[in-house]
Amino acid sequence: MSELGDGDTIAVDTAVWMDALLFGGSSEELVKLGMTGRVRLVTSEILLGELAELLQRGLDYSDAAVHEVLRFIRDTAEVHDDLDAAAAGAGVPREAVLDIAHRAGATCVATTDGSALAPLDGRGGIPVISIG
Amino acid sequence: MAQDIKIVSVSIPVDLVKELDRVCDLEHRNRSELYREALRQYLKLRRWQTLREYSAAKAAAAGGRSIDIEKMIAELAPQT
Repeated sequence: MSELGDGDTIAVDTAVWMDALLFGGSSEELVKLGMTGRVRLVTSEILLGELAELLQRGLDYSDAAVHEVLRFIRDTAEVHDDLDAAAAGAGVPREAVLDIAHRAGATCVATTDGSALAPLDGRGGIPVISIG
Repeated sequence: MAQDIKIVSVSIPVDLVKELDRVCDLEHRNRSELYREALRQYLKLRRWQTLREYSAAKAAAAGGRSIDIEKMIAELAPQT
């Protein structure tokens, strides 16, 4: 988290949203920085769809709870449309967050420890930071 | 677009008002703006806390720290 500074734009990996919700910790700290406007969080419609599916299928969230999670994220982060919505039908590629990071001019991508995104650090000039 | 506005009266300790006024001067904003922002932040935090409580219960039911988020995400990813 020390790599992040006030005013940074951060593309948020789905794993961070899940980690923040389920376990709090550093991921939750990042969400709260976004809530207060100290950093600008960005995501995309496809990534929100991925999160919704994970919460419903993987953790048995109710429809209402998923709705509230997405509503909260829409109030906290910038949600961008995706260039290729048709791709969503085939599942979300893990690198979708890099795409939104480029388009939103993000300073970095935030993910969690052990993420499959970590090897992509620096691709296209965007750091991938594991926040815990 | 005009918003529906309701004017309310609240009682606030003098020291808190003084601190608020200092921030208003620093940020060149008026009291109403800061009250609105403070209220929005508080309400948003409450929403988050409710989601956290719900989610923590779901996590506990699903195995707690043994949940492998990366594995869950990978199982949704397209096969290449």
